[in-house]
Amino acid sequence: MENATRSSSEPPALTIERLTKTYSKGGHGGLFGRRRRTITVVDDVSIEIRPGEVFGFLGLNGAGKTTTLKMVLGLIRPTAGRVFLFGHDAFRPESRSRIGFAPERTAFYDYLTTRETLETLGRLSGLDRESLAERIPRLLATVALVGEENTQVKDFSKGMQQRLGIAQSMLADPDLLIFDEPTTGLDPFGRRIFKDLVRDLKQAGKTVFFSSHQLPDVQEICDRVGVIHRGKMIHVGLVRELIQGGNTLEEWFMRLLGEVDPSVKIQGQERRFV
Amino acid sequence: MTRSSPGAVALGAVLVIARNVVREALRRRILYLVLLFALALLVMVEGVSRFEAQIQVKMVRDFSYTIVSFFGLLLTVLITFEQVPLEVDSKTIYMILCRPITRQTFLMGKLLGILIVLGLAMTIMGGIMVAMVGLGVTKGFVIDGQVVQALYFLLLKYASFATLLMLLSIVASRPLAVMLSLLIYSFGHVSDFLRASLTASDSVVFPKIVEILDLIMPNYVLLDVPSGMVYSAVFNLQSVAILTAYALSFTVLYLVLATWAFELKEL
Repeated sequence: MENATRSSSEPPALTIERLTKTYSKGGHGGLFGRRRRTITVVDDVSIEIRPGEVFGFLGLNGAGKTTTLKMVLGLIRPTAGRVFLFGHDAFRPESRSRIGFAPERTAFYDYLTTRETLETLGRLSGLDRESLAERIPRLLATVALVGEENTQVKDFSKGMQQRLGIAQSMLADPDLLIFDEPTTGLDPFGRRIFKDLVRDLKQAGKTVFFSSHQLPDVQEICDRVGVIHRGKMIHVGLVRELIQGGNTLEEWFMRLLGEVDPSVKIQGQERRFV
Repeated sequence: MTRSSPGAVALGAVLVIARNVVREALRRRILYLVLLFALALLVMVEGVSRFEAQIQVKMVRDFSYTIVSFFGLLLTVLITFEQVPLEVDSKTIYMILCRPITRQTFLMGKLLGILIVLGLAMTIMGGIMVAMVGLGVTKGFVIDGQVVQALYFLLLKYASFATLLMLLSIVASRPLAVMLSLLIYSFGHVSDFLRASLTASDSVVFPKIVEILDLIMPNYVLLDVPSGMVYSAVFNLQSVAILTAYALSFTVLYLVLATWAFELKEL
């Protein structure tokens, strides 16, 4: 995929400046076994996502991806650093009017139907009844949930809930879509829907920023990727450059991690499973 | 696509969140609890039927108030204590707060929804009482201004209690929040006695403690109208206004504290 760029006067869709998050955790030791220790979950991370770009945010479990996304969304406060959405401070609620978000494990109110869920969330985005009446059928068609309008969400499979999660993120036609592990729990059909959707969004000039472990999917749809490891941003680069010479993104990713952290090095040749 | 202005979005969001609370209470059938109220009322009426007619009326009025108070309190606890923690635990809150919604708007919507459910419950309980009077089950008991006033003050009392419970559920675990709020609620009902005992002591510290507690905890005795119901004492409009302002001031205080605590909460 080509790296999309727009007018240089347009502010970045997302700017993360030296973002750091530390937690104080209870540990062992001390008189009552409660000596506190400080853990740095995100360590001085900076990224700039340009409008129209599809950016994959990669890292192992516990690398700091979700914590970073939470800070971008204002769900947790950074210990240091700043986040801007289209040039506006991300901690101001109005800055979130141009974004859509689908969390990793999308949770819904189990007593609501699909339509009620989308209506409720759409109204919270400031959409009126007419707009919702027009948007909801289109979105349900996009995520292949037509005919499920009156089904209670609790009766959905995990994959269907995930697709509904993606649909709700697009309710207000946002310019920046943020997905946390969007393909987790999706079957090949659901993954195909997601990949087609991201391509359509890019075509429409939207920006997509998502975290994922599905590196083949990332390789297929992303312009750029950033790799976070143990809270630190260790690489940002264009996908087409990273896979030059016939490498897959997965091979490049594992090699990179092996270089910066010997504890995650895979010694493929020596490994025997049978 | 039409979007509303930021102010309209905030107001609309309060109403949408409140509507969701009401919808949840109705679909989870929490209001079925008032059927138990009706049953308790019938048992009580049957229980006092052996007394003289005049005493019966007083007892029915007094017990009705007690039963409404009990079920109102139970309902307030049931619909309030999980409102915020459940949204946080289940992560449904992510899909709300990733929108242009402030945490204060979220809490205001929750509180409004709780108050609507409580208002609905009070109305249904009042309706059951009216029906029993109409059917002649409660001999000599009439629904008058005192009864309506009593229900109104109960609603005000539960508004401040619900906000307190919501505040505590943000900063403490669910069981602890329920226990603490009930403790404070109980303290609010004996504070006159405690105030008198502590103020009478020789210590300079205790009266100060009472002063501080008066500022942060409502004296719920002021909002109780059982004597009004039983002995036909009635509050005039000025007293109603003052007591309303008194109860609402604590609701607002707890809401401000809840907002502050919720703003600091890491989600």
